[in-house]
Parts: sequence; C-alpha cells; structure tokens
Amino acid sequence: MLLSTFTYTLLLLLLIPLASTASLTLFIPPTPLLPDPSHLPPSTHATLTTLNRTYTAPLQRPSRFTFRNLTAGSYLLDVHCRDYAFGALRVDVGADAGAVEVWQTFRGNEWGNRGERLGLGEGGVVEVRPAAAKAFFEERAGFSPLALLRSPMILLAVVSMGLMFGLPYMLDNMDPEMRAEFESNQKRVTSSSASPLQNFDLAGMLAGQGQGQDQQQAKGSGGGGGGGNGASGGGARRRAGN
Amino acid sequence: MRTHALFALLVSFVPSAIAVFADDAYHTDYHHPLVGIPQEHNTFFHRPQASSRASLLYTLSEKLILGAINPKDGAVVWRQFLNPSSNLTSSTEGFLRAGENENTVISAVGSQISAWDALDGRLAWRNEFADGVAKDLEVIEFEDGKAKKSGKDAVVLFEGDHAVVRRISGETGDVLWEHRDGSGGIPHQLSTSNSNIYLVSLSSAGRAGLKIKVTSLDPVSGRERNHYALSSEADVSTPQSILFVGANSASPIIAWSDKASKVLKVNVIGSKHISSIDIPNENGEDIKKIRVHAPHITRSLPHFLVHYQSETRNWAEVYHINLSTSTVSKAYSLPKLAGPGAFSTSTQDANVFFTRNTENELLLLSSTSHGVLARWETASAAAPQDGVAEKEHPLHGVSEVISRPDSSYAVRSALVSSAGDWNLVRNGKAVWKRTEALAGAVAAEWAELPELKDLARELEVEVHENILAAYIHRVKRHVRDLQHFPKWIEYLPTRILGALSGDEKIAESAKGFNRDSFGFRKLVIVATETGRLYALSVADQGQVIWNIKAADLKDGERWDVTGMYADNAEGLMIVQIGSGENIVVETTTGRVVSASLEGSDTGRKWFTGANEGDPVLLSSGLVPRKNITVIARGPNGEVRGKRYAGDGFATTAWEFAPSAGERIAELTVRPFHDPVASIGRVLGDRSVMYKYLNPNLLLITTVSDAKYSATLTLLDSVSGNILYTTTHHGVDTTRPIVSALSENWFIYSFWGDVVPSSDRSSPPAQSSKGYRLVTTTLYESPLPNDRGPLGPSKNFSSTSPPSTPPFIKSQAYLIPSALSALAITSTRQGITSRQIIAFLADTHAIIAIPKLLLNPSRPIDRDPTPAEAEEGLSRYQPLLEFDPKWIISHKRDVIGAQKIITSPALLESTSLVFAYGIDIFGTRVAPSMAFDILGKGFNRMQLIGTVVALGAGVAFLAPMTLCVAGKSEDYQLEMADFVKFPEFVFRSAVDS
Repeated sequence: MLLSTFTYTLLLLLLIPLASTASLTLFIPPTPLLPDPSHLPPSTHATLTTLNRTYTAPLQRPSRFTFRNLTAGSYLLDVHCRDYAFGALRVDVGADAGAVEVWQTFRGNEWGNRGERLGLGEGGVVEVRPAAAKAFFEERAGFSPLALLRSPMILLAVVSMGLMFGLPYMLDNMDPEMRAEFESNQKRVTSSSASPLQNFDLAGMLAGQGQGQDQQQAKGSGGGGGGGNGASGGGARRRAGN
Repeated sequence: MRTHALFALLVSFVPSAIAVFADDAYHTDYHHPLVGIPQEHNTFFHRPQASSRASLLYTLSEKLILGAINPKDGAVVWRQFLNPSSNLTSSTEGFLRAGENENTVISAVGSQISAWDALDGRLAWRNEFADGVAKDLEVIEFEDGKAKKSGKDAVVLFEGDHAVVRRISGETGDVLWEHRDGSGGIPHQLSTSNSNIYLVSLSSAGRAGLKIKVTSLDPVSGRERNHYALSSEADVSTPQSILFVGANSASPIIAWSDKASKVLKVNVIGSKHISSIDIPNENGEDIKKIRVHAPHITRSLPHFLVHYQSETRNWAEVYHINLSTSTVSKAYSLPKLAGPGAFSTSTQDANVFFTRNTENELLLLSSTSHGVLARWETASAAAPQDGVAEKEHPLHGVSEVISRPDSSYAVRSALVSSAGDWNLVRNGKAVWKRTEALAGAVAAEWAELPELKDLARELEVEVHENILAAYIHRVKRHVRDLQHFPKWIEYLPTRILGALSGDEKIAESAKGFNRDSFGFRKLVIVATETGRLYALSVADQGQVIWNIKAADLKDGERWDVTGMYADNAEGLMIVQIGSGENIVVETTTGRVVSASLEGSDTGRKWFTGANEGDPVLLSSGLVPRKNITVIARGPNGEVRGKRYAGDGFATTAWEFAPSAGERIAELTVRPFHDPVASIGRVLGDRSVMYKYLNPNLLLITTVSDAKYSATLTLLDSVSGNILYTTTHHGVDTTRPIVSALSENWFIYSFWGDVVPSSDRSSPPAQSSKGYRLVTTTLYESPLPNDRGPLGPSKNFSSTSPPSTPPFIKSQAYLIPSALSALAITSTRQGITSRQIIAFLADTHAIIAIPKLLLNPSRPIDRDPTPAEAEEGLSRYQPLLEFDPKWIISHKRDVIGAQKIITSPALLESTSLVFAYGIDIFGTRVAPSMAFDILGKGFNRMQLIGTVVALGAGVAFLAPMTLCVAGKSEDYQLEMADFVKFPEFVFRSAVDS
C-alpha cells in the first residue's frame, strides 16, 4: 500500500512538469479605452480554438485568463466580451515541452500571414487589449432647435423675413435722391420684367441689333406702363402726384 | 467619385437601419435569465462579504448553471454556465460549496474545480484534472495550524480508474496533496469532521450487496490513518440506497435504511457502531422518500432530522448524537401532516433550526425542543389558473433564519415547487417566483390570440340577407355594441394619453387579452422537458399566462416532443409526442382538449423520429393530405421521402443514405410561412435574374468525423433529385454545423481549419482558420432575362423536373464568432428584406445579420459598377465583421439558446423573434426599418406643437398683411375681402 502510494507520488511528480509547461496567461492591462478592467462582466472569457479542440478560460481576478494543460497545435485565440471587442491572436503551442508563441493575426487573411510577435512577458503573460467598445444602440434623431435653425429652408425663410421687414425701414431712412433713383431703377426693372416676351423683338435680334436693345426696352417701358399690375400702377400714380 | 459616395452611403445605411433604439431596448424585448431547477444539495444562502450581513442565494442547477440570486427580488446577480459540453442533456454531476465567511464559492463539475468570487462571479482560480470526474466536494472548515491564508482549502473526490482525493489550496487552486485509493471500491462521498477527512466508498460484498467502507485521511498529509467497513450488504444494493452522508458537521453520519423501509440505520462516522432506529409508521403506509437533514457547520449542535414522505402524508423525527459515545437518541417527533412537505436546515451560531414547509403553512422549530418557534400561514403564491386544477407543492428548499433580539424570528425560504418554480417565501409571504422549469424548453410554437370581435362574421351575415333583415341585424348589432360604450369611454383618456406619449403598452392594455391591430400580441406555447406546457405572452414582456402539467414522466425522463402545431382558427395547439400520441390544448386557457384532430390537413412536412414501419404519422391523429411527401428518418439515420396515398399508408419514394463513415448532422427545409414577393431579382441594367423557387427544397448536412469534412446536399424532397452538392474540408464536426433555407437561397456556418494541399508545391487548399458563413443563391438560369429550361411554362413540377439543375451562386465569409440556432425573419408578405437571426454562444448574444450583405453577387477584387451599386452590392470582403448594432439582445446576457423561432406580425415591416433553450429571449425586428408604423421617434407632442405654432404665426401675420395692404391708397381691404377672395381678384382685374 505504502509502496503503491509512493509510486503514484513519483509518477505524479514526473507528470507535473510536463503538464504545467503548456500553459498561457493573458492579462488585460488598464488602457485609456478600458481604464478599469475589473468592471468587465463575469461572462467575459477567452477561447483557444483549433480543429476539434477548444479551451475556454473565464475571466479571472484580477483581469486575466489562464489556460492550462494545452496540447500542441496552432490555435486561434478570441476574447469574448459583452462590452468590448478584442482582436484575434494566433497561439502556437510547440510539441516539445510546450513552447508557447503568440502572434497577432488578421481575420480574413491567410493563417500563415502572421503579424507582430507578442512577447511572453514575465511568467509567460501576454497582454490583450480591447480594440473598441461595443455600441449597441441607435440614438433617435431627437428634436433640436439648433438643428432646425441650421436647415437651409429655415435660413432662407429667415433671410426673406429680414428683407421683408428690413427693406421698408431702409427705404424710409434713405437719402431722398438715392431713393428716387432706386425707385426709378426698380420701376424700370419691374416694368421690363413684366412682359419681356411681349417686347421681344425677334427681327431685331435676328438682325444682330444687340446694342439697340436698351433703347427699345426704354421705349417699350413707356408703352407697357399702363399694363402693369395694381401695385406698380399705384406707385406710378403716387409719383405723378409728387 | 459620386458612385463611391453613394456606395458608402448605402453601406453605412444598412447596419444603422436595423440597430436597436436605446428607448426601445428593454421595452420591446424581454428576457428571462434562468438558472434551471436548483438542486437541493447545491443550493444555499451565503454572505459574499463577511463584513456585510446581506446574503445571496447560490445554486448550481440541474442545467449546471451556477447562479447568484438576490433574495430580495429574485434578480440574477451573476451566472456562469459550467456545462462542459454543448449537449444540455449530458448527465454530468456538479457540486457547489462555500466555506463559512468566505468570499468565494467553489464548484466542481466534470474534471474542473473552480472558485468564483461570490460577489461578482469572476473566477478566483481553476484547476483541471484529466484523470477523472468530480464525485464530491467539501470545504475544510477547520484550521490546521498553517499560516492564515486568504481562502479555505477544498477536498475533492475524483472518480476515474481509481478514486482520488485531492486537497486543493483555497488560495491558488494548486494541489496540496492527493490520496489514491487502490482498493477498487466505488467512491461515494467525502465527509470532514473537526480533525479528519473521511472517504466513504462502497465495496462489493459478493452478490449480496455493497459494504460501506470508511477511510480516514490525515488532513495535513493526506495519508491514510485507518479504515473500517460497515456490514451493510443486506440493505445497500446501489449507491442510491444510502440516504445521507453527513458532510462537514461536527459529527458526520452515514444513514441508510433497509429495503422495506422499516429500520433506519445510522453510523456516526469514526465509530464502527451502527444505531438501528425503527421507522415510525403505525399505519403501514408506503414510504416513498426518506430524507435526512443535518447542519453543515462544524460548530453547530450534532442534531439531525429525518423526514418521511408517504403518498399522502409527511412526518419527521429529530435525533441527537452523543459525541462521546457516538450513539444516536431520539429527541422528539413532528406530527404527521397531510400532503407533501419540505424541510430545510439552517444554523445560527451553534443553534440548529428546522423549517417545515407544507402546502399552506411554514413552521420554525429548534433542534433542541419540539416547541414551535414561529408559524406562518403561507398564502398560495399564485392564484389557481382557471381550468387548471393542479396543486403545487414544495419539493425541497433552503432557509435562512434570523433570530431577533426580542426572541422573534425571521425566516426566508427558497422553495422549489413541483411545478418547477423557485419561490422565495419570507415569513410566510411570497416575495418572488422564478419559473425555472422554462430553462428546460424543448419545443415552442407561436399561437395567435383570438380576434377582438367577430365583426367579419357579422358583416358576412348582413351581406347574405335581404335589405330589411340586414338593416334590422345591423341596428341590433349597434344596440348590442352600446354596452361596450361606457367601458370605451372609460378607457378613452388612457388611450389618448398612451397615443400621445407614444407608449403603445398603455394604448394596448385597454383592449384586453385580444389580438392587436399590429399583430404584436401573440402567445408562445413552450413545452419543457419536465412535461409541462407554458404560454408566454409576447406583448407583456414574456409573462407566463398559464402553465399546465401535460405529461407524467418518470424520474430522469425527458419529455420527447417531436413537433408543435398551432391551429389558429380553432385556437388550439397540438403537441406531438415521440410515442405517437398528441396533446391538444386551448391556447388561451391551457385547458387540455383530449380530442385528436381527425383528418386535419396541415400541409406541413413533419420530421419524425419514428422508426421503420408505416404509417409514420397515422397514430398521431394528423393524417397527411393525399400525395404529400413526408420526410422521415430510417433506422440507420437515412432520410426517406414517403409518399402518402391518402389512406394513411406510405410508400418510400426515395432514400438518401450517407456514404460510409458519414452521418447526417442536420436537415433543413424552407420555413412553413415563406412568402416570396418577387420571382426575380432586378439587376442594375433592369434585366432580371429569375429565382429558382421550389417549395420542396431539403438541405441535408452530412459530416465525416474521421475526414473532418462536411457535405451539403440540396434535394427536391418530392422527387429526391439532387440539385446541388458541395463538400468542405477541414471542418470541425464536433461543433454544430448550422444551416437555414428560405426562398431561393440558403446559408450555413461551420468552423473551417487550415487544410494543407495534397501537392506540396501548391498553396494550401484552405488557408485560413475560423468560423465561416457560406451563402448560396439559386437561379433558374445563369443568364438574365432567361428562365432557362423552364422557358415560358407557368408551372414548375418536382416530379418532371427540368433537365438542367438550377444555376448556383455562392460566396463564403469568415465570421468572428460561432453561429448557432439559425433562423430567418419572417414577414407577412415577404416584401421586407430578410435578416438572419442567430445565437452567438460565445458572446451570449442574439444577432440579426442583414441578408443584403450576404448576396453572393458581390463583386470580388474590384469596386462595384454604378449598376451594381444600385442593386445594393458592395465589394466583397472575406471578413464579415459583426457590427455590435446588429446584436438585438444588446446588453442582455443570453445563455444556452437552442432554437430561435420567428413569426410575422400583421405589419409587413415587422417579424417577431423568440429564442429558447435555457434563457427565454424575445423581441421584434424590422429588417427594412419600421416603414409602416410610427415609432417612438415620431413625436406627437411635437406635431401638435408645430400645428399650434403655425396657427399662432398665421394669427400674428394676418393683421400685418392687412396693414401692408391698407397702405395702398386704392384698396382698403377688410378681412372680409380675404373671404371674398375671387371677388377681390376680379376687382383688381377690372381696375387695371
């Protein structure tokens, strides 16, 4: 009995170094993205996956993952977390005495296409860092008065409002001569634009009388004055009264 | 450049369109975070922090979920899913213990022993042993002269080739010593006392039975101190015959009874003396169950209670142990009470309390005397459902007793009821209830609620009568409707308020238990492995409406439900059982209608696990329609198409047998409700690719475990013709290979590994490692505007298929996480684009992947042309990253979903989703956004505000216009002139 216990103990002693060599510890350091890794949910875990083999390590305090008794092979390492996305790593466990090598890997690329080799730190610890925080929710575009003011339609309306209210004041405060000039200009523009087609001289245009157009328009404005609308007619009458 | 912008816009549009809105989260979705039915020996109250008096309720359930529950409200504090295999039916034993005043709880499941932080559920340490599975776990409570450490050590018993006892450091999880038992006995249990560790094992004593062998171990070195055997072979034949091995108390005991349940035998571990106690049973009742309850703390008094349960009554006796003589003496007995009962032990300092729970009262007793310390009437937690005359009774429970300074007591008991509920009763009052039996859901199906009014039926009557009769009928109907008027008026303010705030719940709750106008209110009937049926209301956060016991199962038997079918016209749910019978229940009440539906024409294909022998489904009462082909499994797993002649007898039309070394992993058919809105896909140049639309598609996944390969075969299930087959190598066959089929496309997912090429010089056949998702689409021909062999024919026939197979387009993606429980959203008309709903077992989430991204026509190695961009195609990327916004379970932690079912709402935009397995999760999704309903984003108050503002603006501007007009000398316009606007225009015209 005693002998057998002794043999077992001896066997165990032989077994321990073999088994314990192929292990891997990952550590989540505090980063600006994740200042306090101890707030990660307890469901966070890491997996080492290869064909027909998976190792799972739950989040261990203080923020690390430990894999033990790994067998030789080339594994994909994923860290699964509800709140943060982690990059994938490649873990090669050597057949002899469990040499563990960790590389960066890129999903969607060839497996042989390894990235930077991540050094095994003190005691075989590799640091893993979250790549991004997960945002699940879509925010509704709520009602914001500032956004309303920024919209071009509202801006147009505000400008035209400003003109509508501001122009009479400007006119009233204007120098009388300037005002008279302005009104006559306006008069000419409105009357000429009132019926541009009416006064269009096709023959003249075809004859290349571009220069004579101004005169014709001035002539035409006299004839078209009576055909203006009520408002411009009123203006004409008022001027006549002056 | 502009196309680029458009393309970028399209891509950015797709994911953001389907994300969960922050204000919809936790409102439209619901989740039952379950732990499974707690096991009596793995459930306890424990203080996670020695400094705080607040305790949590810990359990390791039958589903091997370790959960910490807040006893105040029943909320889950943290959970860990410890099942080592994905197979939930595996019968791995689990153990959970906590040392007194420790901040960790220790679990042993399979080959793993882990310590978890009691407060936040993080792993403290873990150790794994390849040479056996855990048979027992105890925490060593006593100090053995070592320096004070941060955690109490644990002893674990492993059963492998030998029984191995290991002492595990409570600080690091390392092995301090191990003891191998070479005697060859069956290891049974461990027990610790103040100074010893005892290994209780059973050794065969010839044919007669089993001898109990007790080995005493030195706690410091693990060396065997001595051992003795108890001659129990006359009584003990199986390990189950031993009633109790008292763990971890000052005087651990072993208790067993003779086969006739007449004598109870008790051995105080450490002595060889066996005390025989006559079981009090004057009436000679058949004792069904004997349970021993003893405290688990070393410093508590050495008292224990024996609980006897017969068919009709329960009673108990309390015994005291004399520590010096190791003898047992009876202290007092408790009266016989009718019905079943549950006892639980709790300790406070050295005092031991027994709590007795019966159907209607709760008694608190001290172990020292028979006086009742406190008594409460327990009000039945749930009022009995109408139509369900079922009595629930407590099966077992744990209690926590607090004695107050004024010698009054407070007791809270967490009781597991016969219905599979976990109830917390505080001082006789029900505090919370968790429906843990739902964690064993095996099947679920949607059921419609009855329509609000039979208005359609009434109107039909009016159509068919003459005018006068119809008029009278209508008047009568209106008069009848008047009786609902006061109620309608009463609810009107609520409804208006609900409509204004956009809270549909307020608006809908007024309508009673009826179908709503959007089709969001439905029931899901869930069948559990415990033989129960539950109805969950989808609109009310998945609340249980009714539950019934539908089947009587033997211990350890799982309810074998093969299918569920809702008959919405009759309001019935038909549950098919593997044995061939079926159970028909009313969907709204849960009343069992025993009549089977003769001649019901379901038109649905059933997968049955039935063995060889026709007819397959006749016994179930659902006789299939004439000439329908039913897919059945043969005795060796082959798939058969059986054609029914109409008399219930079937002939085998075709058979699909996997090749040698392969097995069939999965069968997939198109969903029952799978409408196709368009028969073609319009390309950018306005030409059309015609979809291959065959309603009888069957996708068979066969795998070869030896060759690591998976073959997918697409069949026509009527003719048995193979339409398409493909083989993938380097496939992990131990992980689920999932597939889904709809319209003219299918998808499947698996783990693909690097496959070296057979030829060394060439690159590997498959060069990446990871989960893959393959999407395949079928068209009638490879050319647009061409229907191929089908030509102008209107109909497609499975029995005389076209000579050329359909045109197949396929693309594969690498995905970051394993998919399981694939499902496809289902909408009423199929116009809305589809999403693929899947469970991410790794991240404990449910995801909705837009089908638009899985179009196999995505251009490879080039940017899409403007025409392709118009189709919504983007450049093919081998990696399909999962956007967190696709996760429809957002922050919820969903574990163990086995299956996801979808159902269309009345609104075309929306599909309802329900996932079951362990947790229950449900929500509704709008894959093309909610285009036919005003969501919460539509602010009704804002709309009213805008109208009011516009009105105010008009009122402000109108006088101003008048003022401006008044300045003109010719026309003094009155307000009335605006009314007489035509006249005003006329006057102006005349004047000019």
